[in-house]
Amino acid sequence: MVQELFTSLLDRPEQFSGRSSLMTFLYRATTNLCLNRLRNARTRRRLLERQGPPPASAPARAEARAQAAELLRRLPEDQAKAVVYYYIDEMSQAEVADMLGCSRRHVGDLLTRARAQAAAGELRRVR
Amino acid sequence: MILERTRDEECLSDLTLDRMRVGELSASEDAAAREHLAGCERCAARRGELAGDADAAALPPLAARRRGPWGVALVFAAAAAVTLIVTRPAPAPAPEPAPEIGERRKGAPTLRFHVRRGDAVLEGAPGEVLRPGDAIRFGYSWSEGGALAVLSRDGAGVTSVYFPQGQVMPTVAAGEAVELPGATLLDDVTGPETFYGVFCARPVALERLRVAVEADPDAPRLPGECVIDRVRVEKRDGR
Repeated sequence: MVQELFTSLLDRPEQFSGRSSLMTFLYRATTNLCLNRLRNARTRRRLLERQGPPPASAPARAEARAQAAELLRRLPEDQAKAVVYYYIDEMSQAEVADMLGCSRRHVGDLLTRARAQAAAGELRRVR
Repeated sequence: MILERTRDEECLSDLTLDRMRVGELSASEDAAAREHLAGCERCAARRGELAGDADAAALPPLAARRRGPWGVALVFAAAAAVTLIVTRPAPAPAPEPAPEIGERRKGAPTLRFHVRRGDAVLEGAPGEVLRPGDAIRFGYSWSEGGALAVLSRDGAGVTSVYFPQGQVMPTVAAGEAVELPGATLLDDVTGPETFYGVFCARPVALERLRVAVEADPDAPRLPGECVIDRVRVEKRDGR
């Protein structure tokens, strides 16, 4: 994924407009690339075939990862990005707002809706 | 529960730590981050982990061929931040409120540099990791032209003038990616180092510039007609 990102940037350096810092841009570009990949069904199938079933030694972690991947695939794009920045990159809400170009209030709303979706998904699995 | 965090909101994110390492934080942001790191073992440890990752990824075999500016910048950034180093030439000069590190004003003059390590030459970028013995050659891009000096504040807090070698701030022509004569051989003082490209409408006493940087490295007080471009690098022992 990293290789793909940097190859793309070397081919088309104009992707970085200079409106944010380079590091911020790299975080944002990497997140977009990963979420796009996650939403690509054909890619998911290929990854699953290549990786096979999760090792029995780490079932809980594998299950959590699968749930997180499924949640990110189901969420609307802005909620998925907010979840990645806040729960995976563990940025502050202010940083997430900066990454998304919106207010902190809006970030809070996005995370609330994402949590509700996650809780609904867990409920469905329990049933 | 899928959605859980492992660190408090007031702790530093990886993004902040990465931006800190490559010198993208403003002076006030950098000071706040350092204050937090002084009292938070978890963040200090995480900072060390990220620096280790960046160090491991930084400057793979130096390419002898020259890359485009973004190629080099991105390689450095990918290393998650980087930094350079240099020697301690003759002490020298200083200026007015400088833009924050990483801030680029459209059309503003830019300080550039190349690193020679052995037979390889690489175009440098903010956050570069440099080694003692590396040779640095500075350059600039400036649409107007005027008087130019390059200063540095090393890991020991010593401020020096890298360019020019003489006592007078020389006048340079407008140009893109113009290389300055001479090179600076990095000494063995390690730690974060900041290069200051000082671009003025007319020559200013070098000692005045040096004193200004020494007095306030984050915001040197320079004459109004001077503009500063800062590049933060890091000098580390080679392995």
